[in-house]
Amino acid sequence: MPTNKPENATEQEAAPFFVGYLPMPPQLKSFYWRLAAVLIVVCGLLGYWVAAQQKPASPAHWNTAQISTIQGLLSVRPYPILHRFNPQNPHQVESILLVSPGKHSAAEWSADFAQQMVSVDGYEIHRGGWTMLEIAAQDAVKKITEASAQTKSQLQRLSALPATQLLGEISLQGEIVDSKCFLGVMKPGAGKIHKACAEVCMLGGIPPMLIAKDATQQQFGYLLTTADGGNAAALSAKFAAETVQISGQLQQQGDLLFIAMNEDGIQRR
Amino acid sequence: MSHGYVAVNWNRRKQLYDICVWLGIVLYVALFIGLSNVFYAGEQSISMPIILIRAFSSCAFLMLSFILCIGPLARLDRRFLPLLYNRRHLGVSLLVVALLHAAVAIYWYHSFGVLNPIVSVFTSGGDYRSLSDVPFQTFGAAALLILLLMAATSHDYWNATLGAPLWKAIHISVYFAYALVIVHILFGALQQDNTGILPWMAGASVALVGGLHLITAFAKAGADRQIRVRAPAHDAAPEPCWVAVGDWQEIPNNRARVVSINDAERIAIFRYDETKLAAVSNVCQHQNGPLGEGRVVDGLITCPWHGYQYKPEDGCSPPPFTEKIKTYQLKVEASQVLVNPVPLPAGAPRPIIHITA
Repeated sequence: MPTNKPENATEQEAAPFFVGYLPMPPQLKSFYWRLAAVLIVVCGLLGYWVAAQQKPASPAHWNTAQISTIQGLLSVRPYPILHRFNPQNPHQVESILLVSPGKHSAAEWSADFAQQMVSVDGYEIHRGGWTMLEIAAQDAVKKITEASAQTKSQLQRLSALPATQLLGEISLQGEIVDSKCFLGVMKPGAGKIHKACAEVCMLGGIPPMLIAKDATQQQFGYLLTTADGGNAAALSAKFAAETVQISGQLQQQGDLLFIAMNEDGIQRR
Repeated sequence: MSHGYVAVNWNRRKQLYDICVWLGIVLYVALFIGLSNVFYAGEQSISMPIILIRAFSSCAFLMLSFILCIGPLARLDRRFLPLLYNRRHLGVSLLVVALLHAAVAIYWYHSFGVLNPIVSVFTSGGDYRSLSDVPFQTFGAAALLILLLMAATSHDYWNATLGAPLWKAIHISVYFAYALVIVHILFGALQQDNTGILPWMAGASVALVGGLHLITAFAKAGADRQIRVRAPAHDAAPEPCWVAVGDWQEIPNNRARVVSINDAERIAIFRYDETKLAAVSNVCQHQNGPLGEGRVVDGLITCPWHGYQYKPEDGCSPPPFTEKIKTYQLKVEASQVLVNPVPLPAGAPRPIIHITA
């Protein structure tokens, strides 16, 4: 039977045809071994490349490997804070924010110890000059009952310090974060991706902070309170991770700076 | 083919495919996690759950982009058809990686608080009216649901139960899922930081996926023009309306010529055993694959996508399989093939054209 095949007909007939349940044509087999090798190498290179392009987190540390015990005078308003004299500089007061595990405030666990000398076991969280302690367990806050002479002296000196110093009116622009994540529990612990977490943290009572930058891009953190000096976590939650303008009274307690926000003192920018 | 169902119908080819897929996934994720811990150690280290979230999310995004490239690649170069053969396993693997991303993100960002973590995903933060504050999680969750639906219906049982058109409609929604993932990235990670690698990754993916689809569309538009045949309108008269579709000798042996008469459903005219001709619907009953791009293997018309087979004489799959496709009548006059564009019912036998000297 004579046929008049087009020029490319024989080529088409000879082209390998793949059927999954039949042996693979030899030409395709070699093509696929090479393609599989190339794709697996590409996967490895991409893993390396994408990982290498991340940005380092800001220097911070959450020491989950070791429980620290810190003694000091506990204040609970607006947030649980332990005040002590800095071990490296006994003339300087150090104020350590207390939080509970997870996304919860330490208010409940510390409520019975207001204005008392206590010993707290927990995990230290550090960022810059900030220190926070995540209380290890509910019974990790203990009143110091048998106080040494040194402890009694510390209590007297700390009690004599002014509770809150008023530093004047202030208006600053920055991002509202939850202090626990920002200070080192999550790295990074700010920004849009972290917004939902910050909101849950603040709804749980974690102290909110305003992070503002000066002209040299140096960051400053201010804890936020309500106008009457109360817990502003729930109020701030809906502004988490947003750029806002905060207006209010700048205050200092220990070595911590607070802004007692005016009524409608948070404006979105 | 559809004779009896098993949970996973593996064969050696699919096993090799899956081994390669998971080798690639494990290599990517392991290198990402390991190197992130090496590159960013000490005080500036990145939290491990965040490394995991990034490893799984970037892996899933790259996989989704790759999956969307397989279709056009296979149309442009038939050597890539084997990638299409087991694409469903790749899709299910993608779902596993995407679920890992979602699980770690929910654990890390939404758990341990006063809200139910799932409630937190959908209610926390954001304002859809503000571009800078659109909640990105909702888009990711919607994309995940689509991938879940696709994976859940990926089995041939659902393909046969739902029918190929509905099944395809469900699975074409992968493009919607891809769009949702892009929006998820735009309003999430890209708003967090638009200076790193992410804008390049997202841009390259959109350019590659979109570009390949456009190139394929242009290439196939030219081919589609070639297969269109115009014929006088057929008024359903009792006499067949024969339409000439070309010289039978121009059809390579064991291959088909595809024609579309007056833009009706495509017809595949197969030549096999050198001198036999048979016309069937171009649409495979399995996933509506293009039968005309297939071959005649062991005397059976074989779909290029998954190897579903039909007998040329009646369009029925060989026993015990039960698929049937429509058939068409043919005749040859002076080496010209003439086809009656009115289809016979699926599985209807009609005389095979056997050309003799």
